Amino acid sequence: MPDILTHVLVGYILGTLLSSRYDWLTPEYVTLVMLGALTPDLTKIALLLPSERVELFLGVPFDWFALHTLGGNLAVLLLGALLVAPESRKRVFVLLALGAASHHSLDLLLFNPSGYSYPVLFPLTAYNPPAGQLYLSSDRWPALVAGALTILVWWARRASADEDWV
Amino acid sequence: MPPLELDGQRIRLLAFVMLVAVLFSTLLWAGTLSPNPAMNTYPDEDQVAQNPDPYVDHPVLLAGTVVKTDPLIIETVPDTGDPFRVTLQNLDQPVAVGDEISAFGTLDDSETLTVERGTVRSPWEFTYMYIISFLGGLLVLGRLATQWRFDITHLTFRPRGGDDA
Repeated sequence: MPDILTHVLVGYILGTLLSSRYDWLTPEYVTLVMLGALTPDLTKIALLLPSERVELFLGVPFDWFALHTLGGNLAVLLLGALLVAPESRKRVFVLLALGAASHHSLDLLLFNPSGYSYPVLFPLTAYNPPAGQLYLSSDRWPALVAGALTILVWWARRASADEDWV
Repeated sequence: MPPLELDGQRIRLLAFVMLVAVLFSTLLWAGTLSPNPAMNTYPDEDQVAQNPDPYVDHPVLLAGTVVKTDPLIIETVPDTGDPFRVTLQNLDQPVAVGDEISAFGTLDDSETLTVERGTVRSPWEFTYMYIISFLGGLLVLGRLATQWRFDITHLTFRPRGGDDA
């Protein structure tokens, strides 16, 4: 992952850009794109409760990393969509999925010493596609770029809202 | 709650339980994956630490903390087992004791890795990453808490702004 702030800001940017096209896409729904952009990193539960410890406890193989792949992430998104009223489930799912897709797009561009990324399509395949080799998760510039774009988008959105008001 | 909605809630509960089961299965399945160069995954310290010999002359990915710079030695801590030390050759980046290195290359012998590509990071870079990531999480939580509410009658989350959507 680039840092989570970068992911969340990219979610904000995507959601806000779409909101200029779809009237129903209010700030509440922009937040869902941001939330979706966070979901693959639920795998960081491993920092608090390592997979190996769960394995020892359960007595069977276990890896939190599935949360950062297609299968695990999709299940999380569908669970999220189930938490809202039936009539808005579809749009909630689409917004969460948009955020999650942006997360994977950015993570596939990360630098990895092996030259390869992570098994993004698991469990369909365990294949690791070549990594983009663009940045490290601890680099500062992705958050700076995302921050600058966020301010730009926020400002443009506010300016157009003022126009509507007049 | 009218009977029709009760039925809906039962189906919803069933879908919920099924999705949790699917999610749990993928977590178990992922646990069975092992390094496979054909899939572009390579053995790391967890495998190499236990018994390096089978990995000699093969590509591996080792991560650890710099304990000595000349020669460059890192100490890596596998998930299970004791920490062990590896000498890194050919890493053409400045390093200091305490830096975190992740290095990909060929294991020459049980204690030496010839590096093909690697990353060197100071401890503060990880601190930065965790703090800024925590802020990102807080931002989303804060927006969710102020923009959404839990509707206890229907057991759903709804936007505070209006219930039309």
